[in-house]
Amino acid sequence: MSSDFSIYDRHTQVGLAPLAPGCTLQGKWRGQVYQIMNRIGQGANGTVYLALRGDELVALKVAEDASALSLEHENLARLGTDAAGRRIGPRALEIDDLTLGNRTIPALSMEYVDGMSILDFVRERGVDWLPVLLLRISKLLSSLHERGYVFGDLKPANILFVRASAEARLIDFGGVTVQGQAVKEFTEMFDRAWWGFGSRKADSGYDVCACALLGIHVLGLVQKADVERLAQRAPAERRLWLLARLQDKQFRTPFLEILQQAVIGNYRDTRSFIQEVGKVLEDNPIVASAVQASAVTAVRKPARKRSQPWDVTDWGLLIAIIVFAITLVLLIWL
Amino acid sequence: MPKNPILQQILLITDGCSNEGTDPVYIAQAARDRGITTSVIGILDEGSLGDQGRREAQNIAEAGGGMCRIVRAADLSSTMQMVTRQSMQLTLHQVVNAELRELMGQDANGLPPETRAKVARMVETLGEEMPVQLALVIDVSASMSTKMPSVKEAIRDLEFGLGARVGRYELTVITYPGAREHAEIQKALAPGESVADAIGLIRPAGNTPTGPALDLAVKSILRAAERLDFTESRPQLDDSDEESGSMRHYVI
Repeated sequence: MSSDFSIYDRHTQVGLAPLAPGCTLQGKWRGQVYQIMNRIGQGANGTVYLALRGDELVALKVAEDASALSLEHENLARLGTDAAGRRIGPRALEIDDLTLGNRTIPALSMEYVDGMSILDFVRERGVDWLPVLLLRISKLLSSLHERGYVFGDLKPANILFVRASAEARLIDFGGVTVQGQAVKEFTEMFDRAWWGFGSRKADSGYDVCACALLGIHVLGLVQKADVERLAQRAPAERRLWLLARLQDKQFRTPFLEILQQAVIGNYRDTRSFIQEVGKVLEDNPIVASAVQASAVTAVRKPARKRSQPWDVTDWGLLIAIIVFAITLVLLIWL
Repeated sequence: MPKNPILQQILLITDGCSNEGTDPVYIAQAARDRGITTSVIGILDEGSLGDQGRREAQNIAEAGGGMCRIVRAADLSSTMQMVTRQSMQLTLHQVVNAELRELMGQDANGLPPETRAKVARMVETLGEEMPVQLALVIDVSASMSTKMPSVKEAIRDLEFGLGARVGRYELTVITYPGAREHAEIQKALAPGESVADAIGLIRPAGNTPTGPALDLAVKSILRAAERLDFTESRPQLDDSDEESGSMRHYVI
């Protein structure tokens, strides 16, 4: 997991002492022994460590709130794969109370996903990838929506892209909310209500809006400093600021247009958002071929390229055919 | 559990340490004994909070049975919602745990994690659906002046968030120090408007009577609870009551 966790370290956690690398803890109920390697993430509701469980590397989330952690485990176990068995989140291993000396620490162990954040991914491989990444995220979201849930707190620290395959994983199921209830957790920068684009009731549009705001953030159009400044303004002003920013000619692309429509809430459902982003990919052969090269099945193959100019090979081939035909005709004639 | 349960919560927002009146830790403890949970958000910007303020914030939350978070002003919106939500659940867990101890001699933490999840699921639903009385206690002493615009937006945002809940709510805002008293209750200027608009001048005085402000919050919650009838499906708008303008925040 990447250093980007620290960017969104905002809450000073009170009451939970850090675990030192090298210390070992034993599960009270299941008896597994965990050896702490190092800290890989810190959120408002817990800390994630890389740990050894036997000889297996796992991600170990420890939290003060045992109940919240047990709910997260339940959510992850139930919603962590889609109907076809594809992974949406990391595999849940077990939940237990770990003992360290006289301390009892509620902990959830999960498959360790060797991945990077969306910000690192785009920095490393280029911003051309962004539509692909958002498409993959929204497919995961769509699978939650079909089952009546909303992810809620979508932000860079809660998404990982597997290094090898560039598959997306949602990694914090603590904010997963039943549709129709109030969204459990959110982050200002990715919150529909904070920007004045709608309510904070959990519906699929909430996640789609967050996903588009995520894209806008990755494009560099909204930064943490903007949010700090706008925190003093009313949601209606924030909304106007963002729309003006998106209208700026120097950033304007068809893809940004789609993100804007998604933020405003103009897509009926997650499917239509996915379709629109998919169209961008069809029109963008560079990304399309990059995606094909990475042999990922999740993305639709690009349609036949329509208005592609002919390159040298095409012209060469044409000339060769004409020359061959002329030679053939001449041979028969003589 | 009481027959007509209401969640009663105080959320203190401050960037400093109390220096006048009763010890806030004592008030928080006394409130807890009456079933009211107190949580604290300390604001970190420009460092006036200090070690002492941080320790006090933590002690108030601990005595009040609530939670404590120290954040930057820009993160107030999400933190206020998170702390409100989680401290409501904390309260419910405490009630449920007391029942469990009585019935089975152990609380939810003594149950296997899988069983614990069932209890947690139930508490989560209750937390979403139960009516709540929330008193926001806001430090408006001089050092808060640069943070006030963010605080006001966060209050508006919290009203918005509470409105998205299934259960109803009643919000009271108390600011301190007050003009004449240690602390005063803020009322919305007009029906349908946010109380945030009513929060006026910052008091340049150096006094920070956190304890008396918490005390006022406890009293106003208890007073309002007597009048409230959350079993009604429609809100009781009692406009003749001058005591508190907070009834209009009542949402179905």
